[in-house]
Amino acid sequence: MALLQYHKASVTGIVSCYPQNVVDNLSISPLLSEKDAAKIVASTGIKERRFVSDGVCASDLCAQAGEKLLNSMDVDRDSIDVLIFLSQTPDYLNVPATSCILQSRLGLSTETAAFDMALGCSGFVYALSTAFSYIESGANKVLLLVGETLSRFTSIEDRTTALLFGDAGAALLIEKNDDAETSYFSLRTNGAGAKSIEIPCGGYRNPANAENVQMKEYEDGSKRTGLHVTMDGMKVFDFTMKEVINNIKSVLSYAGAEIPEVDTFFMHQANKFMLDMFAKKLKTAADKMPISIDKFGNTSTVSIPITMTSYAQNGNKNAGKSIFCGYGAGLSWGSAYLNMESCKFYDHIEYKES
Amino acid sequence: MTKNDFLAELTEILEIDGELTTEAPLAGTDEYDSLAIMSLIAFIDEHFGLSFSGEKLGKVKTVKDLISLIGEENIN
Repeated sequence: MALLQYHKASVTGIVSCYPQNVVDNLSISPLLSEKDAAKIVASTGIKERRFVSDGVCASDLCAQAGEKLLNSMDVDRDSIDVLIFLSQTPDYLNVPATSCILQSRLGLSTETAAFDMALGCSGFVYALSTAFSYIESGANKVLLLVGETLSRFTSIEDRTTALLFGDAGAALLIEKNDDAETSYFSLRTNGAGAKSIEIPCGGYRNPANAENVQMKEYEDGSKRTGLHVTMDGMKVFDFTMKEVINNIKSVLSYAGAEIPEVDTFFMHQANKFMLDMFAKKLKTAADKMPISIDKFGNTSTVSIPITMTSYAQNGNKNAGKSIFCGYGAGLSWGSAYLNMESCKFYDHIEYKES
Repeated sequence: MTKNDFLAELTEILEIDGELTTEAPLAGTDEYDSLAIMSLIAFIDEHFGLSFSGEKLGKVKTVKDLISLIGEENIN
């Protein structure tokens, strides 16, 4: 059972970076009529998203977010002990790891440990737990970079996924703090649901070949290649309804806390309808559960940090005692309960094309 | 909840023009799509305190079957 606690680590700064190109969900998909699109938008709450331009990678968004964070917080680049890059859309198929490239791009010391992590929408909570554990075992500063260019693996002609995903990056500074309040994590997995969200081809199980890179039409009229993501929306919905609230309750009970003590719930932004259901089931006021999905869509691992910076942008500078909760492909899910009072720096920047 | 109120709610959830009868088919129809099923889950949860999976609701053949799933004692 992965119930974890950390006593020495705090998040001290967060910067999100989103691409310039705004995508209007009512008109983007050639497969969906405006009426169909409007129906989906009404349920998911995703009015618009941001897509990168050709050639821009998740690491590029992260690099700009990282530069902004390190400069604004006046962090000595030699003082970063660990760099973690979390993404499902790395620069290369893991050789080399994108984190190594980012270490050099950001001018960090060669004494920095750098490595990649890959997980779905639960990934942010897992990577944060990893960052905290490095602090717990001796590191002073960890730079966590989280980025996704999901537009690159989504078919705009797939009925289930066409209007969901967006691109974004974020950089977080995690520091040793002797006065830190204890942070609690509850992390879980059910690989029996692995097929519910997958990119079937392009890895080593089913390598890309001349056939599976072609667009293929499916029963519902959707078109995609084997390198596009597919999702069984109903299975994923059932999974979240069954597990998410239990997971939040488990981390709170591990922390000896109750739902009303939580100041802010930063949930993975999958779908507005689902978020409303969660708020109802937690019996918590909707204004304790900030939303960023209307502007950025589902940015997978980035959706929690981009919700935090959007919340700060709207004038909420102290999130207080916060729940972070991510859930998605794997199936994998996890929640954290921590005090965000330590986080004094938030920023939200648009990517500048070079 | 009365059967008429239930049918009226269902008509709204499925965005159907016209009247819905207990004999009306659900699974396989255009209106009974995943978005409608999600709304139905929320509606049943709120009004009857029952939690059904989308997978289960997706297989319900007719309105009559849906009523017996929720319980005839709840809708009369």
